[in-house]
Amino acid sequence: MKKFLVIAILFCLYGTVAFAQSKDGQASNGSVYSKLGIGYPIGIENTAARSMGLQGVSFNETLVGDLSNPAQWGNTVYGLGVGGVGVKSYQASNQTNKVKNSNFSVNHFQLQLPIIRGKLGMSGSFSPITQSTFRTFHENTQVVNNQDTLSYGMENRGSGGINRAELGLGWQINKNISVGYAASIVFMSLDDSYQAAFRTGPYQPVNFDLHTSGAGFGNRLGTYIRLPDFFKKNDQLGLGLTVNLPVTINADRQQSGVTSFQQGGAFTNEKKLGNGTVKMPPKITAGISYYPNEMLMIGTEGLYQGWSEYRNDFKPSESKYFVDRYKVGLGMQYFPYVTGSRKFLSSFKYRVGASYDTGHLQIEGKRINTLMLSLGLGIRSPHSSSSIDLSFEYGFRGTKAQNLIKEQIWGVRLSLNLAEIMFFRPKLQ
Amino acid sequence: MQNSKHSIFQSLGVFYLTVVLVVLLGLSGCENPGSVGAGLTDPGAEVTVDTMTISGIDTTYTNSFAGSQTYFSAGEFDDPIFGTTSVIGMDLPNLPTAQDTIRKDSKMYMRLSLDGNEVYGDSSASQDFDIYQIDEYWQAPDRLVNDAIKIDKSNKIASFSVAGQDSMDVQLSQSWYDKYYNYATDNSSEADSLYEHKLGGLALVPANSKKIIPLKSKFTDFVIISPDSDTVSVGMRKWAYSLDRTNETYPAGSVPLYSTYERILNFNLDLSNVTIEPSTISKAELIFYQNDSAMTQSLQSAPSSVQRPPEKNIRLHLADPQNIPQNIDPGNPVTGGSYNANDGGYHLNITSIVQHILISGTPEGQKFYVTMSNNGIVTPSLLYTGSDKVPLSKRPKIIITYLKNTSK
Repeated sequence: MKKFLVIAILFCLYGTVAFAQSKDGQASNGSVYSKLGIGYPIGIENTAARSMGLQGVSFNETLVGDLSNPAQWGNTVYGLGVGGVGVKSYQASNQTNKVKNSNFSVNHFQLQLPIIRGKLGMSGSFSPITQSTFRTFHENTQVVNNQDTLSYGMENRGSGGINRAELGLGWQINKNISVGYAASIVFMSLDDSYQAAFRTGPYQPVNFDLHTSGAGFGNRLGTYIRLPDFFKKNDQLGLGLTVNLPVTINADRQQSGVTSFQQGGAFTNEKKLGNGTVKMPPKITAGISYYPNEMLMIGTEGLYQGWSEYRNDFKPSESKYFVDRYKVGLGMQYFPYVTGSRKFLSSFKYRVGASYDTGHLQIEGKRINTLMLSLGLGIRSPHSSSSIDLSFEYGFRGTKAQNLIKEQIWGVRLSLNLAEIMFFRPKLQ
Repeated sequence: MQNSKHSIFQSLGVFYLTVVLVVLLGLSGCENPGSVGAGLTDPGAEVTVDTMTISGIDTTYTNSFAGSQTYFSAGEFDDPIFGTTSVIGMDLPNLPTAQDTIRKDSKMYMRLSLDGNEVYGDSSASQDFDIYQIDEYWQAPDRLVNDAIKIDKSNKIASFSVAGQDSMDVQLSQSWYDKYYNYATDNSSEADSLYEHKLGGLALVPANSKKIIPLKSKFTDFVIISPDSDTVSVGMRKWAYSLDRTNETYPAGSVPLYSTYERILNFNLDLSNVTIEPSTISKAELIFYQNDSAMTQSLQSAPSSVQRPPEKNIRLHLADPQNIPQNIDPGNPVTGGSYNANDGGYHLNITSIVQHILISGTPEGQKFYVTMSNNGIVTPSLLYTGSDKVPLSKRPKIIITYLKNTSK
């Protein structure tokens, strides 16, 4: 209990510091490619799956909540809660410049409860689908009235994205097959702010913000097939498949700005620019996992997302950049503690993996793909079934060709998997 | 043993967690934003310049204040555009203080100090003046530019000429000094009032038409010198001028603007068609172009020493037409602008005005007025209007530089 109190305090401390930095423009900028469309797609896999470069549709841990595949909720035995934070550092460079951005984010929250233990479970969650966190800056000169040569810098910041509030059920039909379904309300909240500052007096700084918000309904289906003793005794083969149906978001766009007067005072003006729809593409995730024994798991999973069907009434000119996305990952996990070893290093969970993502963008004929290497460490609570998962990522995104941008990405993510606090303890069977 | 293991786990777990959080903080605290990624897609916003011509510029004729200003002018000049301008300077010396002693056989001089840079006319020519007694009671703050003045021309008090000098002493007639002496030495309580009402003051009446000189009110005074060379200096009690202008001839598409407020410009600023958001306006500039070519050409046949005082500033007022010119002289201008020789335009920064109008609209029943500074110097200008006869580039305009949202 003391340990979790300490963890909670550290979480609060970290969150406070990171959010405080965000207000100063620190730790709030992510991939520059999140400027396009409705932000960069975010995976909903838990930290454990992310540590292996996988989606998590073809395997699960009984004591760790998982959003990836609704079918796995049917196997819920304990009340589970998942929440986490992460930070990513992006070193972006083109042919001439190099910048460094970092982005702190709060990951998804999930509550997973058994209705009929091990048979029927439910999940409620709030999770991001896309994230737009960028800052771009450029300088320009312009002649006004054939007289003034204006030299100015323009900054564009983006924040927000698409989030999902989801409620779903999973049913373990028999010991081999589970199915699940989840319905969600998909919220869109994107802020795009522009500021221009002039070096030439008496031109004053100007600004405006575009806020696009709306909502739609989402549906997700999943199935999970577990085949124990498949090749040999005590092994297990897992197959998973999820399908996200397209989502249409009806949204409004509003422009606002703050006018500051030299005599003092300020006025905030707001103007509705209109409404439109944003069509989110379907997504199919599938994978296969294999447990040769209780200690080891090897998995490979793939993802297809039909971004060529993406439509955005607010940014119609960007449609040409969106292409279908494919992602494949390969990873493994090793749980030495299951042998009962009391060695210190045997008390952790180890994970490693890699993924290759073709990305959903193609600019100037170049795919904005991502190669990511992952490592993970799981820390089990000595007193309970709860645990902490850490993942470390390193990878590359994009290219410098065609004057595009290549990003070097570092990431750390931490999630807290609760299986006891506020929930009932498992009764001894 | 189990407790020992738990203790180790707790210590190490918290230790590792702390290390990780420190790493997270380090990563999140390091940012070096720069200019990468701006050209990935449409910029979404661009600095845009919109120009709108102002039409409906009209002239308002006023008779504004002409007394107690920084300068008071006197002289006459025949301008090919702005007509014959005849200006009578008016002043009244103070009475000596109780500590000053003057003698009946002393002589009194008017010590003139003028600003040679602000002369209107032929700066090197000799402008002749006669000084007469003003034959009415007048109050400087209430004097208006075109108010007539009664002068007793039966007795000339002095005559003098101003050529290129910046200061001079003009001896006043002994008969006038005698009158002044009587009031100055009268110890009765009503003497001061009688002095101002009966003696009237001195009128500097132009005797030829060469130039108009601006006299510095702060440095123009009177000296009374006794036969023993004892000197008593007295300042001016009040000063003003009276102006008469005839025969203006100005080209179509241009209107005169006078520092004396005889003519000022007015217009309504209609921004109802402007859809720019106030917060995006970086600068809104109002420009009135001076008809430099007409002003220069009109003096081409005159000697090179003929000049018009350079007016460097104009003012913009927002005022109720019912109370013109009292509410704009000096009033509280909403902004001022200076002359730019590069384009021949007066440039006024009206950014906050445009923002206010876009937010709240133009205050009901008020108009914009363009004036020069009325400080006693006689200065004309010739401004282009929004007439079709004026080249588009020379019509009054507002240039709005703003950040335009180029996305949907």
